[in-house]
Amino acid sequence: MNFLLPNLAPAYPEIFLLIMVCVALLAELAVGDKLHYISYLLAQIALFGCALITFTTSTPDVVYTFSGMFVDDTLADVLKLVVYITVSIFLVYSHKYVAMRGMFSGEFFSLVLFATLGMMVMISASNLLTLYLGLELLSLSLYAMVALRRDSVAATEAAMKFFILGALASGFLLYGMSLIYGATGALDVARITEVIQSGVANPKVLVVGLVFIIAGISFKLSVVPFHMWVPDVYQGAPTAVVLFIGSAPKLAAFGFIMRLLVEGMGGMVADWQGMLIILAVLSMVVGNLAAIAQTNIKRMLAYSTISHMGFMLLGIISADSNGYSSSMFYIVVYVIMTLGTFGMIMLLSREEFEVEKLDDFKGLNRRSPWYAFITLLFMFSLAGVPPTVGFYAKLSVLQAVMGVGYVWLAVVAVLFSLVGAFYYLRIVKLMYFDEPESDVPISPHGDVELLISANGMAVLVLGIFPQTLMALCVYAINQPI
Amino acid sequence: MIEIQKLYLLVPLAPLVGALIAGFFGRLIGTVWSHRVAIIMMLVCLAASITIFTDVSKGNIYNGSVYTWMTAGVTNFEIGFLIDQLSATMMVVVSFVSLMVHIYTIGYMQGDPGYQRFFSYISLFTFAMLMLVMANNFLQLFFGWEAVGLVSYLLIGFWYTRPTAVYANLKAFLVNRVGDFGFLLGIGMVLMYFGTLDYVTVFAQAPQIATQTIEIIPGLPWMLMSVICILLFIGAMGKSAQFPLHVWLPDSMEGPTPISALIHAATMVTAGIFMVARMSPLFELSDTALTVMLVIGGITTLFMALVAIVQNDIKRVVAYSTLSQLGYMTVALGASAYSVAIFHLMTHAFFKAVLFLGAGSVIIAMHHEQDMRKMGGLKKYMPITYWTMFIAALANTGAPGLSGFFSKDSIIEAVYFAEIPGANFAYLCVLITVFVTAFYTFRMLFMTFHGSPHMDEHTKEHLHESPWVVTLPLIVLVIPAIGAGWLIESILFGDYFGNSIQIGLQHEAVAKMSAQFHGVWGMMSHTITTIPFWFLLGGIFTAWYFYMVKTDLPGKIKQVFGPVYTLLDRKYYIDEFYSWFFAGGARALGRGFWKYGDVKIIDGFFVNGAARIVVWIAMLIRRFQSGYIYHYAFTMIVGVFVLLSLWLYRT
Amino acid sequence: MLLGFPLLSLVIWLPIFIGILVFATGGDRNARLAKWLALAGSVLSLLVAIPLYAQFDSIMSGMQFIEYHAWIERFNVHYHLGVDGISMPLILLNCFITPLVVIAGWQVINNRVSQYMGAFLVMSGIVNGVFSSLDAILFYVFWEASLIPMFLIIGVWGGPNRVYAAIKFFLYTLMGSLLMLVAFIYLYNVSGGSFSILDYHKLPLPLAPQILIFIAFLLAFAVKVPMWPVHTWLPDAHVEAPTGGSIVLAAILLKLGGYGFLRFSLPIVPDASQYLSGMMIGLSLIAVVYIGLVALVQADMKKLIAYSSVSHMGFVTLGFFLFNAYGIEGAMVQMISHGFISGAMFLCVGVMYDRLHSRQISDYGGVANKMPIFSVFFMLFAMANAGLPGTSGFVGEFMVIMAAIKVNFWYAFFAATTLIFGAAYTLWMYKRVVFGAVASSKVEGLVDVTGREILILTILAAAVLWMGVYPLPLTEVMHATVDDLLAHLSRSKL
Repeated sequence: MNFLLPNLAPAYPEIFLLIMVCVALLAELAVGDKLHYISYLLAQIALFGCALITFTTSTPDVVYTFSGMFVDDTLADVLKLVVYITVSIFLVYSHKYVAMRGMFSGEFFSLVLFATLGMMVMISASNLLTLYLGLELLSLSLYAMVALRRDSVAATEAAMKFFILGALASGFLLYGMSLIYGATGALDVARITEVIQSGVANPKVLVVGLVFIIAGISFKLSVVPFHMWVPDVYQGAPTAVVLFIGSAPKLAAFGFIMRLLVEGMGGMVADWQGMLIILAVLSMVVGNLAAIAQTNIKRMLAYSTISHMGFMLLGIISADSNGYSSSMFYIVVYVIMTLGTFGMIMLLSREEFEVEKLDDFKGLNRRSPWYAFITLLFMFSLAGVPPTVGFYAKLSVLQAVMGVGYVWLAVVAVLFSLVGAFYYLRIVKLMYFDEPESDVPISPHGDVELLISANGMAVLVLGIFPQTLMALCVYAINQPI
Repeated sequence: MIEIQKLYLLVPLAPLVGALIAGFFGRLIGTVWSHRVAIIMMLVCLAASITIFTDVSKGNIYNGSVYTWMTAGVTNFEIGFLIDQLSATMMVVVSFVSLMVHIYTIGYMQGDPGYQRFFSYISLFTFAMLMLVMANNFLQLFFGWEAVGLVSYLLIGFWYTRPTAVYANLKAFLVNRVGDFGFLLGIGMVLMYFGTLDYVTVFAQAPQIATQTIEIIPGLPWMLMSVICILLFIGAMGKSAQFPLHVWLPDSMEGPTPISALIHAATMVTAGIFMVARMSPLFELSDTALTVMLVIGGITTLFMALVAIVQNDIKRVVAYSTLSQLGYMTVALGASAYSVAIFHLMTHAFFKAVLFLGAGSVIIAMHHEQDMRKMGGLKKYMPITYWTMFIAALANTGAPGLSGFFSKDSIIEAVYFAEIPGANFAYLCVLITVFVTAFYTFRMLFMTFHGSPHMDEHTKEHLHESPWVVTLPLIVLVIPAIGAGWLIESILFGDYFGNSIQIGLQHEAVAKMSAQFHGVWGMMSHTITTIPFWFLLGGIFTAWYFYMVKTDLPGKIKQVFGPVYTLLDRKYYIDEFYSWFFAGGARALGRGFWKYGDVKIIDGFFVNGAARIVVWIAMLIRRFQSGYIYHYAFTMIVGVFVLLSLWLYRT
Repeated sequence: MLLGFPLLSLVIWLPIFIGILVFATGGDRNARLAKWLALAGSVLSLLVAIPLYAQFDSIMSGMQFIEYHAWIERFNVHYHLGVDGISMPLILLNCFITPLVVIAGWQVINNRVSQYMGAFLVMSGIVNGVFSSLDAILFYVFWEASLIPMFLIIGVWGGPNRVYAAIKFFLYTLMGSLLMLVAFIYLYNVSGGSFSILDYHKLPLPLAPQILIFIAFLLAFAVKVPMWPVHTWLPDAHVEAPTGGSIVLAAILLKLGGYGFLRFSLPIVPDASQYLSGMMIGLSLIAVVYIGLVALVQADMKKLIAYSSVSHMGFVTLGFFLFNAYGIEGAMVQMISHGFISGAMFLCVGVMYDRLHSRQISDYGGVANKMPIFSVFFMLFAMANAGLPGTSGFVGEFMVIMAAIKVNFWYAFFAATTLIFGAAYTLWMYKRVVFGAVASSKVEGLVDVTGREILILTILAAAVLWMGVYPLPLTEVMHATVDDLLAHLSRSKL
């Protein structure tokens, strides 16, 4: 038998990461509980290495490998790079927080890296199986991360919900995939495309499959009505984990949509466009409205995420490369803002003091004008007010969706973003207009301080010069399609 | 020629400079220098005015622009002067009376903490009035128009700690603003139909659109000229205190007396009369407007004179007298006898100024007591004041030989000859008013200067004639009050006003008068055979009888005609009606709009209502988030189910 | 000549940059430094803005001082600046007001001084950006960005109910502008990928989309102006804002709405503007009359002046939609004049508030006895507010009334009622506050204006009088632009 080694080059980052995870696990065993910093450093090194590999091997060409199950194109490269950066920033923000809560262990970092690996696989998958594989790798890691604080009732409960509902969603997805497989006889994305376009597949079966797939993705994206887990998990899980769940996996989910919906089921665009419109509107409505009623900041941000994902879908709905790049831009911007916001929450949290309530932001301007200002930037950016980058995110998707004629959808979107502005403003109000409740000085680590300042400035600077990031997203999208 | 044009600018600017110096540096240079500067500036102004006047009487008429105020679209708005017989006459009258008042003020305002401020105001007033008079366009006219209103406002409220004074000045300003409202619309119509605000151009074009009609209310074609003229006249009604916008003038007596003399007798209130005379080429094209003026003037003349009968405040009597005399002037305008109106304006300025200043002199002597019932027998203490006032009073009633006679008799005659609808009514009014005027004027004289003294002992001890700064203006002013009437021939029937006043051929009143006129002596001898003369005598006699002979008679009459007396005493309840209907109504409306429109409907229902709905829905959604996994799972399944059924149904 | 010199950029970024420096002076320990820096910055900004007028070519109707650079290629967005006869005076007004606001807060603000001063400077630059942007997105960015400093100014240094007011202010205005954004994007798509405002001016559009775009613009601009019935944020915002905030709000921020109508609504959707002009005139007249009456019954001075602002801004919108030169130029003059007068009025109330800590009319009475110099200034501004000829307040109202009468007598009739209502509410307030005997021991303790206050009041008084006596220099620069706009309006885009 002639065993031909597949072209491994496109998967070098994944392979490298996998090796590094193993190294980290071994190191953990070797050094024991004392020197978790080694794990932290290893994780950062791993991410840096991945970035290096991805960056240096990046070409504008589309390369398939593993019998067409794995693809390396600009979309994959760009998304992965953003994922590495996101995860790396996440690690900086959270290491102190995690350490204070006794989660600073090797397993934490291995889980993060495994999840990252899962995301990378999702992003590069060009086969239903690889897609599913990546997704599950990511999901399982996340479930475990939520449950990492075994002694916390809230965290355990959140993990439970997350797991069960996640399993249900996975079931949906898998069922959808099998229906597609049944209708087209193919698992390969490219092949599915061909079959659907040829029109030989049973449309009813395809539609049913599509619905289930969309349900599955929607769960990951936290889109209404598959969003119910989000507020509970955000509230229950440790903030660091929430930050992780809320940021990088969205990028992966976007990759997933691109691979499966756009590339694979492009022939059914009229169908999924309609479904996504319903889901997007629901998300914007429910997310924005429900956020107003929250007093817990994490819950509020959970609903905020839901509404943002609804907004992001607008770009996908427009179903052209302009729209996809807009959505991608939206996601990237969203990730930047989420990192900053949760980073700030962790920064303000101290040992034995969790920033939970909105009121914990009271009088921040008194305690630290600089952090208040940074938070203000995040809030206005989330609300989409220029000159922050959040505005361009909204602008792009609105432009895309109006470009294909959905003016009414844009109007609905802006109206609900007006509602949304209210609860972001409330944070600003608490920080600037109210008197502080505590005067404990804020003393973050130097690295966190620096990074979160840079994060805040990024929101502003990208708000003034958004061109580069936009161009990057255009570059990523335009190549494969 | 060039020299004289430089003087034009000097006339208004000199008082302005005086005002600025007294106003801004008054505290620095002290009281004496303040009034010196102001008076010197007024002298300069008067001298320049007289020079210009003589120049104009040689026929040198000037119409030119000083600077372009603004351009809008294709229209230039200029600030400029039209110096002709009419404006030159007014300039002299204004600057002369104003100078007198300045001098008089030195005595009257002695020791008042606002001394310099007062000089500043009256100089500023003179500036504004001169700008008004000298204007060559409607815009500048409106400037002066409003500016005199402003200074009047400031002066009425001069003693700003008195609640009545600050009530009166607000009232005066607002009532004037009602007039200005019409005036500004009138100016707007002029600009719209003539494309310019320049007098000369407008007047030249006026005949071309004499027959044009407009439909302000659709379906009702109105004469364009009538609309313009009536709107302009509404302005005059405000400024010249014609019924029903007269209510501010009596209250304005809250101001210091020189003001009453300057503004509310001689100058500002005559601005309306002047304006209509200035616009004679327009008003001549609208009989309707003339009728309106006849009727309004007639009503004002008679009914304000009647109110004067029951007043006990010496200044208020003079004030109502002024209203009534303004009515005369308006009637004259309505009869197309513009020159007569201006003539009466002139003579009235002199004798009414004397009456006011005399009243002021009395008030000083009485230690700021104004109630005539507490006076009496002042004649022996204040001879100069008495005699000057006596002459002025005679002039006011129109006694032959004095200035008031010539002008007032001319008005009566003009109305008699007028054939415009409403002239009969106006004639009746002015005729009766002769009697009433004589009665209230002499009632005032008798109550103040004759009979037994009613003041308290302390006041009585200190009674004495006023200082020379007070009496000098009285004497100086009384001379024209006597003699100005003798100019009647040249002013009314000669070519005095030249082209500055134009009368249409169909309005023959003045022409007919001219035919009847046989010199001043002829006029005086003729008057004995006319009704007004006997009415005049009757009025004086009745006053003498009531207040000198049977002094209890007025009280009895008062009891018998109680309701009538009360009606007059309450000034026909017009003030009450206005404050209830307009002031109260506007406030009630405002409160309604605010409390219901803004607070309840817009804010309460829409703005906060929307916010409440949002919060309500938010709470609802929040309740949905129960925390039970099976709810969550159920929701997901429902989601899938709904999507499925929608799409399966569609395909 | 300064050909090619990026003057407009300087006018925008200089105050922003100095504002950031002011922020950087840190806490209240360096308050003096912050103040002086802010003052220097604002005066400098005014100085650099002067060449805009001096070198302005008033014969030319097009844009001048143009700057054009690529900015966001993705959306074909450019950093495109330029001014014409409409925007240039507004920039000058803004630069003129900022130093006054800085001085006005000199002694009054003792809390977070650097943030206060910095916020005003930054806002000043942002507003200049709004007025000079020729790219819709650039415009929108500045437009929205101006909300942030004002939101903070009201919320941080405001009165007791400041939170409600600040949030109401923000959301109200955001509501309007979001729909404007939708309209921009629509135009972008229709115009084949351009955000250039000048391109939009030339873009043909059918009536139905024109009307929709008009309505979207209307919401944005009407809220800012503010027009009835979306005006209710203004009284709240004014009452709660600190004096400087009120001044800037009234003098500058309201002008953004008026400017928007001229730059966007009228030229981009001329047919819809004509079509809906009846409605616009109706709303404007309601503002004049209804709000005039509402102002009459206010017990709070700031609220009264706020309502008076709404009423006066009614003249601005009225003027725009009469579609003649008097109307548009009159409305422009009214905007500038209102900037001076309302600023001055709020300043006057602020002067009294600083001493007595009350804005209720009933707490005052007889102020003239204790503050004679102040009373003179206040009188001047009150009269200007009442539209007295010789003050700037008259010029705009006069022109708009003249414009209205050309269109319909009744428009002018209702507009002219402001002569009565304006005088009534302003002078009635003046009477109750300033005249009369000393009303209370608190009033007894009042001291007259300080040199600093006299300085600001004098500058404003000079501006008010200058514009009233000689408005030519202002109207002159607008003719060419306004004529051009009118010619443009008369050509259908259908």
